[in-house]
Amino acid sequence: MPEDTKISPVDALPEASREYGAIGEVSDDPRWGMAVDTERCIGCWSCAVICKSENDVPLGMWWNRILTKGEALDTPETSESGGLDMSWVPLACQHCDDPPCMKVCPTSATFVDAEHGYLVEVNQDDCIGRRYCMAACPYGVRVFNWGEPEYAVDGFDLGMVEGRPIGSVEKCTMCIHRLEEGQVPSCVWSCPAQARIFGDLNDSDGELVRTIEDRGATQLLEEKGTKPKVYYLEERRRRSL
Amino acid sequence: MSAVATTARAAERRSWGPAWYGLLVGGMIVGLGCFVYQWVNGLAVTGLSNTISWGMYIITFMFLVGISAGGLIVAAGAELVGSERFSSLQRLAVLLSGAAILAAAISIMPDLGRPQMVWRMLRQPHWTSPLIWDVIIIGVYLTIAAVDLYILTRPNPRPGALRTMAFFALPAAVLVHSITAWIFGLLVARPFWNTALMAPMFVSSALVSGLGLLIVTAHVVDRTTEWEPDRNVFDDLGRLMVWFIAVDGFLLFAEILTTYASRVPDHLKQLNVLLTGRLAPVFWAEVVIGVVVPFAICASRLRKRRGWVVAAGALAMVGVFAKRINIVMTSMFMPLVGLEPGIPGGRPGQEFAPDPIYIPTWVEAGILLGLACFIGLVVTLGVRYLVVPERRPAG
Amino acid sequence: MPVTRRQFLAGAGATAGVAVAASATVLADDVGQEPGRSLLVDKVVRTTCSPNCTGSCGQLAFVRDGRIVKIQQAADYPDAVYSPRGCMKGLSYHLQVYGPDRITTPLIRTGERGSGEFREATWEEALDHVASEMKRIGETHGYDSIHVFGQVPGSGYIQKGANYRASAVLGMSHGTSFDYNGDLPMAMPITFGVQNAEHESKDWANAKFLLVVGANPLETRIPDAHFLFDAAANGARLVVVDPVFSATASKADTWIRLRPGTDAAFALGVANVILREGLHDEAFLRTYTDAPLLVNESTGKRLREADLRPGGSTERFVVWDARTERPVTVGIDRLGMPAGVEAALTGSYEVGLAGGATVVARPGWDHVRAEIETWTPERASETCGASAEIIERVALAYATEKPGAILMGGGSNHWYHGDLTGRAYALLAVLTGNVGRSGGGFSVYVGQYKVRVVAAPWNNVGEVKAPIVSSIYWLTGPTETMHPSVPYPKNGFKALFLTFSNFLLQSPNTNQAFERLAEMELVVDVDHQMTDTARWSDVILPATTWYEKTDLTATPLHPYLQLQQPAIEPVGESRSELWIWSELVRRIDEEGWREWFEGWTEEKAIEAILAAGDVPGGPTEGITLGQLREGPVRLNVPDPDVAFKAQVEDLVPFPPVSLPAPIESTEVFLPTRRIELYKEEDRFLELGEQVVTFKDPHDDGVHDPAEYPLTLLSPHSKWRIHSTYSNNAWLEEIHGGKPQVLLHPDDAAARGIADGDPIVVFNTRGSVTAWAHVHDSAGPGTATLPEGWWSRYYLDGKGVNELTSSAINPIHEVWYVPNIWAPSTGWKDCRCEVRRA
Repeated sequence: MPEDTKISPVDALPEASREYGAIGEVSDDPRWGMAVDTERCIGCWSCAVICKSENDVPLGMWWNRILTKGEALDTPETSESGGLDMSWVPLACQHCDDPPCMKVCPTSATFVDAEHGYLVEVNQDDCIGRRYCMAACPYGVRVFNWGEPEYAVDGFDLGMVEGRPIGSVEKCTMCIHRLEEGQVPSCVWSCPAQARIFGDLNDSDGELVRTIEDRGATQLLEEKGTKPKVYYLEERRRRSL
Repeated sequence: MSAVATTARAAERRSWGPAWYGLLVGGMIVGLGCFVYQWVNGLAVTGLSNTISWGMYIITFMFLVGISAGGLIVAAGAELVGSERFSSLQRLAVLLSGAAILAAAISIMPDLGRPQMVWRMLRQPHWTSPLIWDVIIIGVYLTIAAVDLYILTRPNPRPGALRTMAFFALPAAVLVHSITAWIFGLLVARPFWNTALMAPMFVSSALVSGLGLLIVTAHVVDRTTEWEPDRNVFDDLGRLMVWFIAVDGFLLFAEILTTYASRVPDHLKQLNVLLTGRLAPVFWAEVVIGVVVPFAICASRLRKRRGWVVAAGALAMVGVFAKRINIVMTSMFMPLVGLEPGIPGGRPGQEFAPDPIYIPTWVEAGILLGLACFIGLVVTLGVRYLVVPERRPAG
Repeated sequence: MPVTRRQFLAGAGATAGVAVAASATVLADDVGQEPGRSLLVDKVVRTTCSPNCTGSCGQLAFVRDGRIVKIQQAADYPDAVYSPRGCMKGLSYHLQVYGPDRITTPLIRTGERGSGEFREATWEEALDHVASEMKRIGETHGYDSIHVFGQVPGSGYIQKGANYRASAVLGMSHGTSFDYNGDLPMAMPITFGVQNAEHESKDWANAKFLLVVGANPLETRIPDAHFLFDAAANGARLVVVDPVFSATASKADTWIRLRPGTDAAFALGVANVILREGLHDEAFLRTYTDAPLLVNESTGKRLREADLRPGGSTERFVVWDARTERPVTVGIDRLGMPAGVEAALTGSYEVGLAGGATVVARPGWDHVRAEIETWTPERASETCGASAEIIERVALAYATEKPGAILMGGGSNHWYHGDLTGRAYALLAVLTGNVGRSGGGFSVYVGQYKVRVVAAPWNNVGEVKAPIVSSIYWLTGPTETMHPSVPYPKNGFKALFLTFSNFLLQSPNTNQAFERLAEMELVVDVDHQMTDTARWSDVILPATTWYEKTDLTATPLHPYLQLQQPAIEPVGESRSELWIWSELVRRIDEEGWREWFEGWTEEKAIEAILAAGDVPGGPTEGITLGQLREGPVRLNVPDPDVAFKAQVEDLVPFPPVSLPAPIESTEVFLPTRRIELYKEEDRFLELGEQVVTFKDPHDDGVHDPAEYPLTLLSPHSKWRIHSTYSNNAWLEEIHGGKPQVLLHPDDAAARGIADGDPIVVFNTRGSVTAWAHVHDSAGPGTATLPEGWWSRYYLDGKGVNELTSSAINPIHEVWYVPNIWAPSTGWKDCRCEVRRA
């Protein structure tokens, strides 16, 4: 199909699907954030796989990974009382309000984008591949294009965004290309356990802020002062027999 | 020295001269070739991965900055306190500092994913990045070393010129290594680095390694050219080494003790990597080879024998290099979020590795060889044209 | 001197600077674009992902330049609580569509079977060859000697229906999937007279108590798992019963570790406590079950009106009215008891028979009660390994926190005595009246078997249906107890025609399957990937995936009917099953083709099916193809879709119909037309299973427990749908691609096995070599090796099914209605031993 008759993937969506993924109302100066409900996360990696698919992430790289709170992948740990325990923590860029990665980047290739919800974005044009940001990120969410990227399918590009140049760093963009068209990030769309909420942290009436306050939430490595915009909802108490 | 002996020495020197230069240039060509290969194929040709994203290049960078600071601090420090003790070594010290810092600056290049974009660092420097400040201070330091060498090589140096320079050189030398330390020390993501002792430790180990370099090189130049230092200078250097190692060892001990006593589980895990874990051989090498043995040598009567002092200097350098490895690798081995499956390695076949390993490849070895040969060449040329011709009265 | 240091330095610096600047311009690859521009597409096509997982999840295929570049859930269910469904496997399916194992041309074997040596052929040649071979075999041995196998119909009524249709035209034996998969929960036809009767997963959220037994929905029902959390958010308690601490156990309020295969003892212990505390619902028992119906003590058969007086009906049964102290007859046309009758549930009564004799009779319930009373919590605990304490607590909670739902999975059903397990859990639901109400039920979730539409106009040719032989009989041959109505071919099976199934690796007792394979004169495999089964075939015909063809799908887990619509042209030479069958039938029986295949497209078949169900009360009432093109359409079923509503609310007799079988063939399962806790058929009596009891795991009776002390569990892994996705590159990056055998530290230590060691898992049927994963979460005395790994991932051996058993339980042969009352395989009923490799 010739270039000029192609359409944006959001425009091509059937109506009902587009409604499903539409970002709700936002404030005048949105600050994009996310809540992950670890009570509902089942460790299926659907959000990680759709991220890899959406962003044409090469083999060996993952922007989003599901960590097991246990001894190994999908292996429980023994708690202090001797019982077994296991849960999952999805981890991608936390889009911190005080990002250490941005501060150390020598060329400002990593920057806080005030026009797009204060997301932490990377402009690969400016990236010199110094990898200082990777050392600086406490969460280890940045991945590097070490060499020529390899893909599971050869011959054509997968995904909805262009690939990144060799020698540059990349990470979760909060699907900024979808946000611009009023659609939630792919990981939020694709979670089959309905464990992710996306929204405007500056909208105190919005579902995101209200859920965080009602359920209670923590942030990863809160004590490091990075002020992540990703919150992890507290698990409700259990009622054992 | 008699004219005959001088000529004989000169002839002797010239006979291995071309071979030496050939070796150095050959090494540099190898290094350049490896660099080009890496530029084209990407850093995938190294042993680095997303978990261990910094390796031999930055270790070498730190080491080179360290050994450059040491020489100039000795020279400038001696100048400032008005000591004549090390005046015979001044040119060599400054030359070594300049060569090392130049090599350090160059060693940044192979550690970039996109070296062709490095000019953007100059066009749009990000002032909150310690790296930018490091580039600036390295430039300043290089300039100071060049100016110092210029002054030292004038037939009639202006009195006080060196002294004036020392006022800039000493703080610059301290700063160059402190800022390099702050590249690591200001990161909350790496608790092992994030200590106030980082800058002092870097400075103290710079002194140790820089002094070690000076000792070893002075001995080699003495043996291979007609240049010779003051007779007792090695004893003085050895005595200086005792103090430097003592301070460095003390800071290391303070760091270990504080971490150990803190009982913070994450910190203890990192400490154990050093004490008993994967890095234990390198750590204990650092302690024994780099601290205990050279200290013992220089604090004892062995210091009176130049050979022992030179050995201590060499061992101290090895120990400091081991320290650089330990600093970088400890934090790289243990990312803060330690849950499995960990960080994806970055390439097919290197997906998720809960226990990441780093084995430097031939490309990295080649580039480091090139750097070493570069320093060798600069130093050899500098010794030949700037140090040896210095006319000193014998004795 | 020639060059000063400063000059040297200056020169070097200048050179470097020039070099950098030059390279910056020459090598400035500035591919990185501003954040925010996404690539464009040609179109987005809404289809349904439907391997045999019961997900049946709407997906969007994003197409650019004629290729799928992304798959993402459609999330367009009219009731938002269902969206988005989907999982990481479906989202990465395009890796299989275009992957290295995709078959793109017909292939004809050139080397030995299994050598992997094939040559490419045109469709003409391949079809001619296959058709002529089929014709030869058909005319020599009979067309029924050709065994056609297609997996469960719910995953695609049209394409899989084409299998049935062609079999009907030519008279080939079509196999079975639901029972061959071991998924047929025989307890259901035995107790309720139906194939299966699950509540839709949405209904889990309405429960106050959820008992999940031998099931791991977090891994096997990914799109439905969130309903468990919805229930918990509404205050429900979640109890998980499993020998292994599974993913689902990690979310439970309480996890109960059971010895594998001892569920019936556990459930009977729970029943014991419920009875003892008087928490059971006697009114429910009287109204809906055979509990009060009297059983003749000397014959074990129920008393009928015909026994009591001459000319009496054999379809009226007898109860003892405690009020009048006389026997009263009840009919089968309505549930409930006659007005004013206080039907006794216990006790012994003397009943006069026609001809003067009297006989002692007890209500069926009395037999059940007697059995339950032997299962004190202490006795149950000794057998099943759960503490007596926890059995008490489960009983009290389940009986009082209503409605309570029991969700059972393959872990409990896939046993030789899986029917007893199911009957025991069904008993709990019946005792507490948790049947036919939202939030309750005894639901068994296994395969995507359910025929939710009237498929007859497509599957059958006029009145003629395909002869169906349970595929277990292909594997084992006829048994002595095989039901006489099984149309086993008189000359045995001579050919195997497989569609979309890794049949040889996913059959139980792999080595037995390979023995059968050697007897086949022709093996044809229609598939899209070069599986191990394909490698062992004679002819491989490349099939289209569900992104390249049209089909109709449904699932028991949710009530939506959905289309599969092609997003791209078929890859390579691949074709749909419908096209393949049409071409083959035309070559074999041109007249039959003209009558039954010519002019039939997928759309035409869909319209025929929709029309057949478009009657008042029919499943597809008012549903059109046009609606389906737009998105999911709700079948005409209750909301929420729960089982037995009509029976419980309107006293309509059991059983409801189990499509595609006519009601006549399934109502015979329940002569009383009530829930049957007492079974009077001879074989039940002979085997002592007239009421539910506990029997030890069986495993063919071959393996001495002293020599083979471990139970081999082979559950379904979240990374695969059986063997599909075994070769998915993205998923392999995550899980590492190494089959692991989960062992308990005690068992491992006793054998000198450390975590990560290569080990051999073996019994007399076969062996595989894989890696040990030693962890506390394992059940002691078990070895857990998830099924579905392709052979190439093992260090040695074909796969875990080298060890599993193909034993047939004669209870499953009392009747024969394929996929509904038929031998259901027992994968977990398997003994083994392990040793270091």
